[in-house]
Amino acid sequence: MRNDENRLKRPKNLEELAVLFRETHGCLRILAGGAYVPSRLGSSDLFVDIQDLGADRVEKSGDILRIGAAASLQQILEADTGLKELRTPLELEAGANARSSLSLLNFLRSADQRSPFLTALLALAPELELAPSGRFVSLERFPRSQPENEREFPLWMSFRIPDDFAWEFIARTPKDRPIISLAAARKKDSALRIACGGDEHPPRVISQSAKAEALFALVRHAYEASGDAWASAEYRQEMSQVLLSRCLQRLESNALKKEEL
Amino acid sequence: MNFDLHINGQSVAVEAAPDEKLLDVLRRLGYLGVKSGGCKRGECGACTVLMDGKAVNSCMFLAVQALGHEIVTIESLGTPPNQGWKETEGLSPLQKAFIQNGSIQCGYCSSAMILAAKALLERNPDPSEAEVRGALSGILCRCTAYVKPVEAVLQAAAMMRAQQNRAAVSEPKIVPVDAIPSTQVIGKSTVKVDAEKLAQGRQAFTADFARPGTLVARVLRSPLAHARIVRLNTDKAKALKGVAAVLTWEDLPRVVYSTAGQSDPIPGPLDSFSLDNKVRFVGDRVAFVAAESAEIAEQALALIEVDYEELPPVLDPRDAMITGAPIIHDEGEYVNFADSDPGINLAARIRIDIGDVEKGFAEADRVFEREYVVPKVQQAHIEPHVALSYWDPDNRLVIVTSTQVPFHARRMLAPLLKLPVKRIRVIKPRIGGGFGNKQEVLVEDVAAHLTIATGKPVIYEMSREEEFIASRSRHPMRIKMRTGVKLDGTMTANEMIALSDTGAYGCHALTVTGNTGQKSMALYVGDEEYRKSPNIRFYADIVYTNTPPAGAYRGYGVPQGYWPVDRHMEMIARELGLDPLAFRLKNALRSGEFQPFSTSWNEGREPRPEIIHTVGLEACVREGAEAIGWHEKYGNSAWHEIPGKPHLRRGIGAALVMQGTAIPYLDMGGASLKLNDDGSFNLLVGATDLGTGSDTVLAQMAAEVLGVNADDIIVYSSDTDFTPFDKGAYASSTTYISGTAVIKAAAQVAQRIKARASEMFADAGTQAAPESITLADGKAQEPGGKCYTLAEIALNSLHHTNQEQIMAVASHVSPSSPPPFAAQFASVLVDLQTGQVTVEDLVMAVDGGVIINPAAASGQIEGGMAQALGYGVCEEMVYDGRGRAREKDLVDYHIFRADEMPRMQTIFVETYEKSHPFGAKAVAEIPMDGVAPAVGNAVMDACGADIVENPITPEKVWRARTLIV
Repeated sequence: MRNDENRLKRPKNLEELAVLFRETHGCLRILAGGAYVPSRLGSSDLFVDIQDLGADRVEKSGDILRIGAAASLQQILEADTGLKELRTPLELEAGANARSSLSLLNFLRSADQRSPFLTALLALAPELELAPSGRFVSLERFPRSQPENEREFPLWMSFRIPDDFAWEFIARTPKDRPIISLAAARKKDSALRIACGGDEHPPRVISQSAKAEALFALVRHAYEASGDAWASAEYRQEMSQVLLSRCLQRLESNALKKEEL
Repeated sequence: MNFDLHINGQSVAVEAAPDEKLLDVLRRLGYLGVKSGGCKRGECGACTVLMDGKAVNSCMFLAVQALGHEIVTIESLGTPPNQGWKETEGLSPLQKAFIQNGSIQCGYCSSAMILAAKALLERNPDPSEAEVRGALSGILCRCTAYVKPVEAVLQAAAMMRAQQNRAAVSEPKIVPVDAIPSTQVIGKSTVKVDAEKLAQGRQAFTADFARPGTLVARVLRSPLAHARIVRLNTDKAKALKGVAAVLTWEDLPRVVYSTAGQSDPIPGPLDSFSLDNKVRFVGDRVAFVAAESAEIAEQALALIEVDYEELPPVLDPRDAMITGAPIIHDEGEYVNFADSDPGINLAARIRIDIGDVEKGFAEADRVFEREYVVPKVQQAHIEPHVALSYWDPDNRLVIVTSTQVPFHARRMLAPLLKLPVKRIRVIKPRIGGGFGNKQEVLVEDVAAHLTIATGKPVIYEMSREEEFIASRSRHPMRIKMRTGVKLDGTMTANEMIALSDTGAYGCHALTVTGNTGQKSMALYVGDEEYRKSPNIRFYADIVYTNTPPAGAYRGYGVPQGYWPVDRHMEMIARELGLDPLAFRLKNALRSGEFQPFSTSWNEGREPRPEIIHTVGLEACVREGAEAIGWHEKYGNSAWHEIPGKPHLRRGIGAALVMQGTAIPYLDMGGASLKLNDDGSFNLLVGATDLGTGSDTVLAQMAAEVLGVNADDIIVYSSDTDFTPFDKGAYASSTTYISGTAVIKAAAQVAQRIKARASEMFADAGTQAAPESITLADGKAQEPGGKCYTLAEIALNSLHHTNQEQIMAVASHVSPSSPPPFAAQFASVLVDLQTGQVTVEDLVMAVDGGVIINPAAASGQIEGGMAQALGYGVCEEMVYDGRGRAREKDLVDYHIFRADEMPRMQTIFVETYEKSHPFGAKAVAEIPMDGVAPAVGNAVMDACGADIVENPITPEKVWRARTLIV
């Protein structure tokens, strides 16, 4: 195999990766499999392909799910995550080819505001483990755009698998981008966490242990200024109540089934 | 960068730019089965390859990312078994299945589908239909509705499991209602003549013919909806290394024209320039660049300095003719056609009164009035517009282009380029879908001007974003309906008043909107005495706005007409308590009656009254209703309700439609046919197969006349130097017009063959008059049973005695336009709480005359229904207050995927249309007409929501439901 050693590197471990970051002062591009329109490159930029770092896996350990930056959306869909309802937002995100092409890292960078999978993920409260720093940051705080210089990038995403998870959406066709989508995750020892998406604002997260009435009001409020070319705010506010109700029913129903088992 | 890629089992040395996509590198290396849909973002999936056995989009990877991985392209799958003296293992089962069951229409996405299916079958040899649909979900197809490709994958899987060699073809149901003569080749699902080539990803499409060293063109487009260009500076762009030419309006001859590819004289205003000093929509042309690479050309665009004087735009067609509205076309060169008046932003005007409309209203018991709205939608063919131009050694300009109208393009380009027609040659290779959008001359002049400027070959391919912001679309309209009806359901008068938005230019403005009334309002003439003298009014104003131009789109104005006409019919039937099907049939046109509009209008030419002879509408209603279970479902509350799911409700709806078949006295097609030494024939046609299968259908018709197999007819289409004139592929005309030309040519050749055979029989001592000789099974046979093969006759005529080339040229123009008819049915599931509509079933029963090739024809119906479904529920193009498009890609502009299609069924009701030698009419456009209103009617049936504006979005249904509650 020949390659241009000056432009392309495939580090084998995190130490090698860290060296590349240090030497280039961030003038590099992380390749993780699948790229939505890479930004224009500097003439001396280095390509760092992370496919040999071992971060191309979906791992489940106890109730923790860990997804590598180079794992494709299709791998996530096919993995035994214990979250059957995650399939629908993944299928809505893109067709099979694009899911196989798109790595988690590039998805996180390119996902737009209306992304169904992003909305679903936000309900799961994932943390991103950044490389090479080893720093952790929540997905909510991660900037979803290609940076001019790479200082660090999420190498792993992990979250605690909730006891219950529900996803509801409204779209013009069964596989169209949602006009409104709601994801709800519940863990035994923490609050219900709801992500509200589907409009042209970034998905909003509501974490609330309050009573249902308050929850409905908060979700409605999240769509207060959500009017855009796809739907009116009035419609979204009304539908947020319908979808929340369905999500809660789903969670209840799932909980009952688990108790019966 | 230099590196090695492992492609199709071989190590291939690659030199690639660091940010070069795998797609571009593979195509540069000659893997032409990897297609570009212009998005480069993984939206369409046409660029699918296998990477380590998984189907991925090669546009989503940089070439360097593929290093160390095994890449498989379609080129590795298989070739036909007989390659001259060399035998191969043959085509793969998947390729065979795609070829044999008619899965390949335009073929642009076929390689991608086959590869995705290969990946699936390698890990799952016995997939379910849902799994197949899932595997194909990333590959968008605008032609097939995925019906046959999904069947093909299942068939291939079965073939591989059972080690069979042939896929079963699932034929559509055909119900003859007239006596249909027996035929040998006509009526058979002959394999498409180009399917094998397309299943192998061979060089076929325009971009495949670009040679090394070809310059790449890009177009600078306006960011403003309406502005004058007051200053241009191209110095920096021209100085950029690798830039060969930068052209602005100051560099080009100022020649006014219309981009509409229509016969001479163009029935519309001349209001366009290749480049102008004014821009009229966001996306309008500002400058052309040719450079050594796409990247350099794009950098050059960014270096062009433009100062604009922004002008107030007109974005709402209702504002266009208001006094004081900004004038969009104030150029002195504007050439009017008919009633166009640029001073009031009027591109065309139609005023048609048939009978005495006011008297009809006065005689009605009830008059129903309502306004309907139809949206702007995009053709969304997967192959973008693309043209390649170069000077040939004889100093003639050759333009290879993905066009539906090669001959119109040549004629229209000549004045723009300041070249005589004789110095232009237009070659149309395979077209990757067009749907009317390639009936425009949109890219050819860009490439040609740049070739003239540089002397070098230039290719210009639109990006997906350009397709959305700068190509053409369906005319959006606001349509007021007023219908007078007696209480027994007799229609006494029908009126349609349309306001049509042609956008910034008036291409097809008059003729598209004319069709809106002519083909939809003509279906309902009334009953009893009204039937003898219908009262119909159709008025339309077609206005300019500062939005991207509308143009030709499959159906050509008729889908816009049937949304209001049929939704209105449904509303009236329900208001009067009439059976909706019986009410429609009571008032519908019948055989032996005049097409009412033919007595009053002919696209600006003299009207020519025409009697309609074949109307299979009642049979279509009967067959379609039976197939969908209409009588068990309509009005049956038990069927409408979903046990345990009170928020869901089913509904069923129907719509009746008619289209046209060619333009009478205008559309002309030509064909030439010659006999070869072995008894095969070369058929040269100017007709353009844009994925419809017309080349195959034309071959079948020639074969039927000549008594040979369809594969003995070698079809070539089209090249303005070699093939006879044809008006091109539009108006559902190829089978009817070009087909009749082929039949005429074949009849002449048959006559010559019989005469030659008669002489050969005489020389051998047998007297047989030419008219007594029959052609069948590749032989000429005299009544006594003696025969000569066509090869023997060919050798005799070419080499032995009184040598001559047996060949003929013929052309055809028709005095009639016999309409196809159809009954469209739909069943839906409506979420009463959210308004979300899921279409579950689409059934279409079509009277297209005699069906020449059932597999190809049903593919047309299925694909058309899928496009029309988008028109019904999700497709629309929306602009903000500054004229900027919301939809610029195939994510926001959603077209149906394989994994979300409703069940579909096609039924052909065969009438025998005597104006065609084999009784054919047309099928290409009619499936666009009825789906949206049928779905609208089904939604109304489900939940009472009476939607007047398509697409039927969840919010519209919810709002309509809110009004009811």
